[in-house]
Amino acid sequence: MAQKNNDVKKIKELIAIMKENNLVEIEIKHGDDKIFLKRSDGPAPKAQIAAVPMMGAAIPPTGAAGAEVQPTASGGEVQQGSEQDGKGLVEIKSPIVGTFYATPSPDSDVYVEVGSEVTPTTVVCIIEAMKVMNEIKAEVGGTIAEVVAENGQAVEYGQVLFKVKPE
Amino acid sequence: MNSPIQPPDPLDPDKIKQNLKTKRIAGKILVYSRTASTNDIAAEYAKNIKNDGLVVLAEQQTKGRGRAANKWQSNHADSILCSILLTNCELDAEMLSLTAAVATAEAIDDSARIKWPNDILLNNKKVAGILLESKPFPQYTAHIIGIGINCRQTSFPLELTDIATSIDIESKAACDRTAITKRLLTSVEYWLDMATRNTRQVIEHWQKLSTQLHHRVTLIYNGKNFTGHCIGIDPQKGLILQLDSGATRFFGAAHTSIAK
Repeated sequence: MAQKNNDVKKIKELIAIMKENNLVEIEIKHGDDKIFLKRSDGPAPKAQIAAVPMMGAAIPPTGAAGAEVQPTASGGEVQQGSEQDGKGLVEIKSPIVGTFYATPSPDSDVYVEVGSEVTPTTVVCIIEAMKVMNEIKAEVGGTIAEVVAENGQAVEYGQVLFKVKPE
Repeated sequence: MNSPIQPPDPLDPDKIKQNLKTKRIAGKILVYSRTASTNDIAAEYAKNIKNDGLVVLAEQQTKGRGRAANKWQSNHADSILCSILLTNCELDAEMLSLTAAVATAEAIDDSARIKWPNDILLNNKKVAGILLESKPFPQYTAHIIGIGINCRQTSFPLELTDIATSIDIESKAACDRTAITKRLLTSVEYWLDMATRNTRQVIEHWQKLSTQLHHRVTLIYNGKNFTGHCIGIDPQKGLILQLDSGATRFFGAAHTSIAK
């Protein structure tokens, strides 16, 4: 716990340094520990804060309210992220590499479309990975503002699937 | 972190299909890591009549339920949580229920017994449950057989220890969920086929496995208790009791629960 608090303190200090010097990203390596921070409000168009495992404490992406951890067929674990873009919209990102399905079955209506109200537990899509279907939850409450991914599309880890106007 | 660790034997559709001899069941198998209910997913696939035989499996259910919304115990990868979709089945719901019970009991173990209407017992404790659901469409009625089998559980909450068990607890060994799933799908196909050709065979087999036949049974029907001697089962009308009042009555599975 003390270690975690220490890590959080370090990150806060780094964020302050970034703001002070108007830095977009910062990377620090110390032995096996590594920290990489990137600002979402910086000048880079696709800027984001990326969390990497470091110093025993994993920091969830901003906006990820109780991000649910999804298992993958290959073992290990992944974190589902949702974070704000520049327009105040929250992005729902793919927590795994796989195939995006917008409907519960090929003959069903889509889980959500633009204008759909979602809660953090609303299932918004399926990502099929390693022969396992993973239902992806919104992790945020609000209204779907944009459906970014296309049905049947291969998606990468961290790829934006939806944008949500938060409540 | 709080993630359920990947089970040592994750259900894999390809491994289940390997050497599986079924023709109708399991043409397509979907495995979900976690879902509210496999029956709900099968219900979505029920919209297309071509999905007859589809199998939905989940490593965990968040809203798994038995009849009358009884919660089914399911931790990650402990159970076989399976829904089989039938879009082309002419059996009555009662007959389908008997058939599913016989098929599930057979797949689990020779010692498994059936407690009508939907419980499968090992050592007189519940090891599996069956939930049948029907969805009418204009051209056809889809039936979904939801089957939950306790496999890898090593213990149950105190309030369930006397009434629930798992295959591992009874066999004192680690079971192979893939192998049991294959047996289950094969058994369901065999008994469904038997039920359409020879109803009598299914009923006779059910009678052999029943814990209630020739025993006193108390059940609740429409909120009222009935006690009597179980004298048989009817493929359309359900359990037959010779009531203490002398009358013989049928009790359909959908509106009946067993008190004793």
